[in-house]
Amino acid sequence: MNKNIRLGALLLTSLTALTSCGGGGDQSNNDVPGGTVIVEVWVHKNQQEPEGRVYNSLMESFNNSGFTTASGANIRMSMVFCGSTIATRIASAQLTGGLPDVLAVDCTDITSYVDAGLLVSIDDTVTTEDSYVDSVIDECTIDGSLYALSGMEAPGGLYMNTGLLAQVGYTEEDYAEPWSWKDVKEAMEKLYAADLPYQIQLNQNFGTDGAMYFHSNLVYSAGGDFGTDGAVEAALTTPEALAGIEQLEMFYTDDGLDNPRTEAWAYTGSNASAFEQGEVAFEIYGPWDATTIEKNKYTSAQYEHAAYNNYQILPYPVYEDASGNKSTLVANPCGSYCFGVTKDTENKEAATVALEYLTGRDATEAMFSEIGTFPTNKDSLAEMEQLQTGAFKQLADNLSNNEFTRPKMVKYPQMKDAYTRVLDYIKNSCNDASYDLEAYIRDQMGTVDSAR
Amino acid sequence: MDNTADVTREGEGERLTRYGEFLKRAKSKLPRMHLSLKGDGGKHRQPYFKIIRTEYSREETLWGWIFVLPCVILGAIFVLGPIVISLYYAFTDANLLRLDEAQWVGFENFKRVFEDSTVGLALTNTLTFVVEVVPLQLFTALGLALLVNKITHGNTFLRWAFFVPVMLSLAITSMLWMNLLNDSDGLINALILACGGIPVNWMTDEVITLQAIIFISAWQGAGYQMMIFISALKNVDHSLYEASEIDGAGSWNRFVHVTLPAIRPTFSFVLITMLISAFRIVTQPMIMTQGGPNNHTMTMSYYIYLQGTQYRDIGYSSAIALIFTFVMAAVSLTLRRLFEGKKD
Repeated sequence: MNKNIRLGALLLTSLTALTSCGGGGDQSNNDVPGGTVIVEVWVHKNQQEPEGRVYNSLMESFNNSGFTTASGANIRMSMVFCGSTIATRIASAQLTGGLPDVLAVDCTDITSYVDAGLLVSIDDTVTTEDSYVDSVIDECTIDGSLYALSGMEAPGGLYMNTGLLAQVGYTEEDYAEPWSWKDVKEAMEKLYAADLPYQIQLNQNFGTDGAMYFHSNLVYSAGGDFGTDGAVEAALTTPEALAGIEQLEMFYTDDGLDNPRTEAWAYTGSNASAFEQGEVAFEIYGPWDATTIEKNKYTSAQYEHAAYNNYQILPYPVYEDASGNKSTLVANPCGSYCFGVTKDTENKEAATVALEYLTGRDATEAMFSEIGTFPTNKDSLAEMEQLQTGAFKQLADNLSNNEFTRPKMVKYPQMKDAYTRVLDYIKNSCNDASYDLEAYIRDQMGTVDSAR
Repeated sequence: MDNTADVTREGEGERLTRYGEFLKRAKSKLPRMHLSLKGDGGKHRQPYFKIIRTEYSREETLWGWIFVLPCVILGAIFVLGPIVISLYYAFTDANLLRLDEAQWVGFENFKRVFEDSTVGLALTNTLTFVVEVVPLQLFTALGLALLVNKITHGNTFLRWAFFVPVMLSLAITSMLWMNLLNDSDGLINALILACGGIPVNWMTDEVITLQAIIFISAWQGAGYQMMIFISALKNVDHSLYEASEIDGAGSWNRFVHVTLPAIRPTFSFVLITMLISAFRIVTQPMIMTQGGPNNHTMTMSYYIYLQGTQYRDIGYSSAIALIFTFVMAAVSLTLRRLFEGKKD
């Protein structure tokens, strides 16, 4: 019987251990002079990842910096590295009431989180709002209230291999102003005629949001927009938006190619370093290639048309109408992960202090050094030595001058998938007889509007 | 030699004696137990309870439950609970970020399922996938198993080679095939070009892309079923082959009249499990095409995942999942009944 009792006890212990996994730890919130307030932060990375390591060191430096609340309590930061499970954890915690004080949120999710009452406005507690670039403030502001801040940005642009372009007559003066999509195509045709690498890498299927990240500017630059929740179809079928999206067709049409079976204006190969190695002449991309190019420094001995020392980054191309009038709307919608204060925080003041530290000048410069994202602090952009010349300065200028964000709507996930399908439709079908872009946009965006 | 034989016999004798004593003890207990149940009106019986005229020993039931309990609890938490919750959500407007505010909407989600053209396309794609991949993979696996079973030299290497794709993660093989099938610089198109052919849009053509995914899935999965078939083939009674050979049966007749009937239970098991996993196809389209081009590789499981996780529409996602479960169950049960019917 003793054996039976022991066996029973073992089973009970195993079950207890199993069911107690994932329980939350103790949290102190002793906001009195000499007391300690612990701010729990959930981040979207694992501790082993480069970005996770930066967060870990930021937490350590925060805890050694002696931050206090107005009443004199010490603020300490405790960090949970959620990795890719952060969205599920947030959803569970929203239901059970175990949200942290501060959490990482992709800027395109802020609207949904605010709509679900998960984030609270930090208007009344934030003190360093003016030090952030406008695009961060724009993407974190919903209905006039600020809900989050970010220490990372990823400005993109049009990468151009000036070494190749010089061979068909382009000079430094040609890069003084933003190019239009038509300018790009014209240059590609010249390169094609000269039997030089001529293609453009559009990266419209990059990651899970490449279409919106790199190509929402098609719509913005033409004077259109993506509308609001429930009114997307109407917004994207305006003459402006349609004309803007149609510009992509010129890169997927067969026109002007000697052998459309084996040639294409847009690069569809698998070489992620195609621009860097001079395999293509143009690329639409974020800041990451600039970092890679400067790091690898490929020479012409390695790759005949290598981009190192031979490239420029201009803002994303602008819209040009049939009469040759170029738009003055230069859009560089970017945005990255932000930090927001949740409804479950017991000390919003302390939570905001931690949030501002995680996205402040030291943090944003550490991120730039370690993972290559761009600083969101205006002083950093103006003073960091690396950002004062060459490609990095061009990207910093693109970021500073940007006035556009990716669409802010609850149904953003549906919206970006539908927009991706629209761009894919152009890519796969624009040479077909049955091609009807407006009908396709209506169908796709109608689905977004009717979704709950 | 003789001594050893004597020792063995002695040992056997001892064992037989011990076994005899054990039987005696067991027999002596049996009548007592019988008597105590019938003869004394239950006075000395262990505590028991009755459910619908059947008596159960309390102690045995208690211990039975203790052993079954972990399984029941885990099953309730991870299987039964989610099914019941999902069933409930299917009739609500539940949103992943506002589950506590879910409102009852009746059959609205189900109505939406039948109006959603993407569901129709996803179901067509899934059924196409199932109808094509199951026979392809099943007969590839059977063919490989017969081959490996027949070949004596290099058998181990072949078995290992055919099984390797199973050991690789689906994500890795998907990435690998994406590179091989790249429209402009993939190896397959390079070979086609080198042979003077016309490159194929493997990843962008609305018809071909699904076919490519079907082929890749069959290639990846066949090795696993091959192993199951090999073990079934090893268990076929060889005397049947010998008898059929004597009767003059050729190799095809032996396969049809001996091998196939002998492995029918395995065949049925492999078919049903393959069918269910084929219905759940999600990784390859998610990684290779994200459901494209133009939703032509969108599958039901992927769409359920998108609606629930990405779009946070748990109510709608649950409704699609519920309907899809009925479709899967209907197909699986019909096939199972077909096979059982044949067996009878």
